[in-house]
Amino acid sequence: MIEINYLIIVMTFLIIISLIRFLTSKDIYTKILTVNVVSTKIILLICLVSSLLIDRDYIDIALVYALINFIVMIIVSKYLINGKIQ
Amino acid sequence: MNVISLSLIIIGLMIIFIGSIGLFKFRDFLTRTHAASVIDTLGVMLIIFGLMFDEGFNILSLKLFILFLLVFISCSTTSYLLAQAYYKNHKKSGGAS
Repeated sequence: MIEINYLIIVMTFLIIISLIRFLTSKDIYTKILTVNVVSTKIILLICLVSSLLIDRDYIDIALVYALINFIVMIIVSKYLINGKIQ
Repeated sequence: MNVISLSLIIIGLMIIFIGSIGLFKFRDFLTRTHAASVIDTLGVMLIIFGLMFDEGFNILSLKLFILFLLVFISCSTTSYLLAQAYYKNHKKSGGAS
């Protein structure tokens, strides 16, 4: 069970790399794409943490996080396409 | 963890690292969507299948598979919609930024 710790540290390092890409980009589309990538990596980090701990109910939190991410990305993309939300 | 699940998770982390480097290196938005799609499909598939091999056949494995299907479909749809928005707003310049 000791090797999961190193996987979680590597996953956090990858999230920090994508956050640096978010701060240094100037295009709005690249920023939104990077937010999507960071959310995907956070979902994987929650799955790894639930595999580390004894309490395995964190996968439900990851499911809810994925659903909220999906709704937010659909609304932002429809705003960029049409100019309004509806 | 056994050898199969640990090697699947490590290969998934390497592929996610390659996709993160691609987000820095590519110079256009429509080519950066390739790098983001590698992270959203292949990296997520390898890491979640590795965790499923660690679990075995129970209800948690089914939840992980549902999470994999949700991320697989939703991130592909998001990349498609962002590319459509970019193409609609940059149609006069021929798709180049």
